[in-house]
Amino acid sequence: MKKLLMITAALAVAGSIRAGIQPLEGSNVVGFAEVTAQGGKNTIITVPFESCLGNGSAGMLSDLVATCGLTAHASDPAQADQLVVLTTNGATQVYYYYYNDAEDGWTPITSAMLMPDGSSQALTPPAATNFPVARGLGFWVKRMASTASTLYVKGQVSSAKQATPISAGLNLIGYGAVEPFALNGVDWTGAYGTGGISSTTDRILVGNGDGTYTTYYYYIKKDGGSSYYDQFTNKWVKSTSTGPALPSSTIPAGQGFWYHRRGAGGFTFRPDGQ
Amino acid sequence: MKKSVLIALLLTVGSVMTSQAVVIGWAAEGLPSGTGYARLVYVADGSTPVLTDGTWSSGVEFISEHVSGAAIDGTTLYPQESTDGTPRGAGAYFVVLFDSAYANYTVSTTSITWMDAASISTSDFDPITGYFTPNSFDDWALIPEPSVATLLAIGAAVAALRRRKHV
Repeated sequence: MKKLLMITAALAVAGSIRAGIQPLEGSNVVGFAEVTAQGGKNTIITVPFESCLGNGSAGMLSDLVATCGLTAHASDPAQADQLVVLTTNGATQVYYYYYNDAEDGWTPITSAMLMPDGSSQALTPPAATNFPVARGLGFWVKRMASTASTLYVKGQVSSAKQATPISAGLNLIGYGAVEPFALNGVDWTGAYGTGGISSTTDRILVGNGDGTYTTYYYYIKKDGGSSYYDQFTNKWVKSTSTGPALPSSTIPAGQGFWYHRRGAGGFTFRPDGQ
Repeated sequence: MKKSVLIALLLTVGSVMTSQAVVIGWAAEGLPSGTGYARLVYVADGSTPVLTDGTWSSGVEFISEHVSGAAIDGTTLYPQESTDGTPRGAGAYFVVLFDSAYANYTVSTTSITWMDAASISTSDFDPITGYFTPNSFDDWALIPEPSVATLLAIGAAVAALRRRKHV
């Protein structure tokens, strides 16, 4: 009887203490996405996340792309998996190379940049710990081994709508979604098409995983064209040997693509709406 | 260390450039009336391909399959991307059209060289940024039947073969 009273009293004290504690609550959600890095190939990836506890800021390359499961080497970049980022160096587009160092993770590789006068200039990227990668930017993973491996991208899940600037010419981008998506299922306000598939129609190039691309064109039917083409207008289509065709598959989360802006100027890609 | 990395990179890029197939982007505008089919051809010496006695001139290779149907929208041939798996060091690419009855053909009056940077992709890092888009074609030319002399020669060869079998 005495024992029962003591247990009851202890539970009552514990309950009152528990009730007095302010619960820790947070709205930050971290996550990761799996992307297949094809063996012996280059795969365009994108990071659908941002910096952890960074209030919406871009994460650093070394934090966003995990090295686990990838091939590392102590000193030879040619024997390690690499990341290749298209960026700008002043007004020039350049590629920054990083390799998976066995001890230090993503490590910059000094490469040569060809100058207009024919000479070459050494190009040394910033440290991966100091290289911000915005959500929606695309870049490559170069898988050196002949077998495929899973690449993990990670970070804080963003609640903000994506806004990725697209400029004239070639852009490496992606949709910062954590689920597969259909090209024609997101907002492409600003994409340019005219007169069927013309020399000024914007293009998207999606890697097939074997080193080749499938090209999609932003289709606007020709004035006075056959009604057959109505089904394609204002959509991304691929051009086959027998005519336009709608995309037959979705794009996995974490996979990036080329956007070839051929319309005048640029626009901001807002896949989640304006 | 830096030098060895640079050399390794250059070697890698060099081997990619010489060993991989290229992808050629092509299209056409101003198609002549009656166009039913189109193909991309490679010509080793870069001269305009000609069909004589049912045989294409020397050095002509078809790169693409027949493009037809809704890929031909009025006077426009929608862009195509065709792979050429043979390494080239010379030559040019042309677009050849055939009419719907496959009785006539015509060749683009312009071509691109085997190393056209905009229309030919050599690697993942170098996608096509422009399409070879000829907009002028020769007049339709009749697709010639094999000549009488060729037919006689074939007939004689067959007859000789049959006689040998009987003996």
